[in-house]
Amino acid sequence: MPKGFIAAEGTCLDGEVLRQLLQDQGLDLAHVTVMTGCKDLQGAAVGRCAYGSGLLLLESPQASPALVGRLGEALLPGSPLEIRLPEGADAGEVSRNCLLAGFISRGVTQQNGKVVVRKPQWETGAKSSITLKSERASAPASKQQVWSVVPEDDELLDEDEFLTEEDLKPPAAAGGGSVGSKDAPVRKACKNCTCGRAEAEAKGVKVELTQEMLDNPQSACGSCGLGDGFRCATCPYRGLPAFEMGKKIKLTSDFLVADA
Amino acid sequence: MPPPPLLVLYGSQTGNAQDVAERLGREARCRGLVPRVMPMDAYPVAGLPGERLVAFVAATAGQGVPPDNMTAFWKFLLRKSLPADSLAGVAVAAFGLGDSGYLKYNAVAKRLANRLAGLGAEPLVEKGLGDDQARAGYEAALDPWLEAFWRAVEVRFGVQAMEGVVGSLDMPKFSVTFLEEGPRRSQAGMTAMEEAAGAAAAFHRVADAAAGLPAPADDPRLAAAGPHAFGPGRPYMARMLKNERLTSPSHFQDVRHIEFDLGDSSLTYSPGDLLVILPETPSSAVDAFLERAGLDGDRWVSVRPAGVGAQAEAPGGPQAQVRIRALVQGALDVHGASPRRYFFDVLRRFTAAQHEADRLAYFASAEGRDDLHLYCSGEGRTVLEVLGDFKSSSPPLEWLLQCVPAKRPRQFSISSSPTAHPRAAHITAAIVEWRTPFGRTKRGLCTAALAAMEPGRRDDRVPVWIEAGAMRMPPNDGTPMVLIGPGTGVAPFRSFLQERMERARGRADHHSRPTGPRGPSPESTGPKEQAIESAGPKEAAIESTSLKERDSKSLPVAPSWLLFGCRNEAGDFLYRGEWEALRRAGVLDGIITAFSRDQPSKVYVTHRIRERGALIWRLIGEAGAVVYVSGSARKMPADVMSAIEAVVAEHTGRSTESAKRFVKAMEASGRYVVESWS
Repeated sequence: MPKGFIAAEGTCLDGEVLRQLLQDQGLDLAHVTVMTGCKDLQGAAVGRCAYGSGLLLLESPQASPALVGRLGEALLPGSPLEIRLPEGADAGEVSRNCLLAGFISRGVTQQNGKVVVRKPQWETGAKSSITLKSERASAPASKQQVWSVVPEDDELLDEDEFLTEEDLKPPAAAGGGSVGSKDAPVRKACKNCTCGRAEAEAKGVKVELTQEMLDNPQSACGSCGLGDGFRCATCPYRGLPAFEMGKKIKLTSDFLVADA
Repeated sequence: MPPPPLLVLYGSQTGNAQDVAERLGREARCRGLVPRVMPMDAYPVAGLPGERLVAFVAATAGQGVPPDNMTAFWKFLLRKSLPADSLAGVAVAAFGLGDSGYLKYNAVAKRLANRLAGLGAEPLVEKGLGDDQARAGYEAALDPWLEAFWRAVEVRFGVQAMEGVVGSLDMPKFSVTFLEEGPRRSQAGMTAMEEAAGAAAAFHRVADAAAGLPAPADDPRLAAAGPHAFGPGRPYMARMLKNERLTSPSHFQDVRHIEFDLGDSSLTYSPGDLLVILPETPSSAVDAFLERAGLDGDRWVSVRPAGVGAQAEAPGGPQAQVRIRALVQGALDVHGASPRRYFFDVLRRFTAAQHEADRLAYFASAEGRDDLHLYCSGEGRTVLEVLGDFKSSSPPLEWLLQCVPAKRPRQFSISSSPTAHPRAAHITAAIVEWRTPFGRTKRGLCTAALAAMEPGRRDDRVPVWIEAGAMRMPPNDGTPMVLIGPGTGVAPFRSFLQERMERARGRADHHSRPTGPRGPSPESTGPKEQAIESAGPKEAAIESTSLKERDSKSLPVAPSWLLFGCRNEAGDFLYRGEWEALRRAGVLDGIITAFSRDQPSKVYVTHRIRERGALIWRLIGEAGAVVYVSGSARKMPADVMSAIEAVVAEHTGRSTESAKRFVKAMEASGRYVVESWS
């Protein structure tokens, strides 16, 4: 039978108190390890997964997650830890710190100066598949009813269990080039481009917007003047309002500022 | 084989996933199917095992978070006791919308697909993953996925596209009747924005009915507050009290401190809550839209769900009786958000000029997808601008209601404490302005309007209401907080700290227990923290006085730490002068800053977290502090979490895996809270 431990935060543990605790826990001296001065407990001093039950006598009003965590590591999976609280301590606060330290929420009881928590059944690092065997007595007849009999307060699985290693890898580079960058390759030139711009771009020559083009805009394909909706990706008039051939284009003041 | 009943379920935050789901529905109708299309939470999930064919469209918001309208459905699917063969015989397909610039890219759709498979569902096709980073956005992945989906449906169920159907058969959602005169109920005394908000709410109820959704349950907060409470359908018109630029004049970004008067509204909020604003479209834009669409803004209309048969026309049926101008102002975003592909598809059908119709058809096709993205969403093109480019297009009002993007309210973290500033709410807003790829300057609809307002102008009122935020202060004032909020993320923390200062002064009227445990004082748990640092990269003075030096008996409130990052100490150190007062009051133990561009190498809050690991661990592990992370940077929350995990690992000797689990447990128990926005 695995041993239990009694841990006291304080340095001194009165013999009479110890005797009472042993009686409460149903332990005898042959099956208990007593630790005192636990406030500064080093992890190495206590065994790992060695104890079937634990009791912590708190002196300070709070149980720090670090302390509770170290004691938790000493317990066998599934084992309970009982925490005796001093006057003025907040049971809710202590429970929360236990959750933080890795104890599970089911099975937490709080009553008259005591908090009892449980170490989860799975040890850290263990993996277990979700069992298929149904633990409920009656199996409902039709498919539709299967999901209606699930208990309301059913335990929820951790959603990140459903993200595999593969899922977490970053995706392959998307798209290829940012949208709208001036280097974006042209997918389709103007439908009936006759001005030679398409050929110039194919040769790598970039057609820039000049003041002359603003004063006397021309477009052989006829699409440039129709507005952005009809312009091809590398049209130099991109971003400008629609215009009439030959008529000066009116601009907002910030347009000719070069991009940073 | 009779066609299978197709169910299309979506989880959508901004409306994109909903748009994809509705497209699936249209394509289904082309094939003679009668699909049901609805948000996941509107579907009675217990019926899922009885379905035969279900398509899921799920967006991932922020850091791997599911959209609001699928959270209950997803929670149900996570129940441990669902038998592993529950969904045997149910064919499923999933398409996800995400952004590969974020960690946990498309996590929601991936988890969903894996869980469905784990429950025995039969995947018809490989899940599709839409990516905002792709050249044409999520549409790039959607077109091929839909093709594969319909091919698989044909093979499995024998469903085929109907002969002679070109493109998609599309049903109108709404029927619009022009009324001779308005209802007897007078609109006098109501401002234009109040009328607009009311019109939008009425319209949304009709839209829900048209989609076959049950009438939404009332927001319990609103219900509790009574029939006269303020909310999206009835905003409070708040006066602006202050509108001050916080960043230096030479700083590239204009960040404003704006104060609103909540006056006699009896609107209340808690630290961490959000102020929600319905942005106003400039009247010139509304006028331009009405003129372009050939609509008389002052005309009253009745909008109902379109439907053949008596039921839709029944006098008791859902309808919205509204003035057209109010409907456009409140419900439609004609001067802000870019329309989606469907808008171009609808426009095409009502376009007279052939070259325009051809171009619109091209934009609405798979071939034109990249060019559409270049022209429209990549360029911040608005509905008004598109209508300006396609002058011969005249869709009628009922179709505009169906395809113009919905106007969305904007949420801002409130940066004031309600106790320190009763009947007022402050926000910290970065004015949105950017240069498009084509060189056009664009401004955010909401912030541009706010920036231009002057406090004190009587008629300058803003429609607002309050919504609960994700962050709440610890229930006990004795719990210290680690507040990590770079940039405008610091806003809710100003609220938290102001509130703690009020409580420390004993002025607050709240129910926390001042005699609760405070946690160990710093000197009892280890070497005293080295307070003032002079060497190393530039930081604002980090001064900490131990609790012993202050009169600890008069201070029931535990001091917290603030980690703030920005570009330049001189440029955008928001609320700089205020932190000192909070420190002197004892609610702030110290502030750790990271000015990323004040030295040759970039320094961020994540660097500071690792540098100050001992302090951070003492706060989290020993003093039971709650960690709050807030901000607008994409990768920041994930990077902060990694840094915290590293600190936990280093100071406890745990493995990385174990440290990750520790932080996860913190999240699960409400000790690690993140609020981030894009």
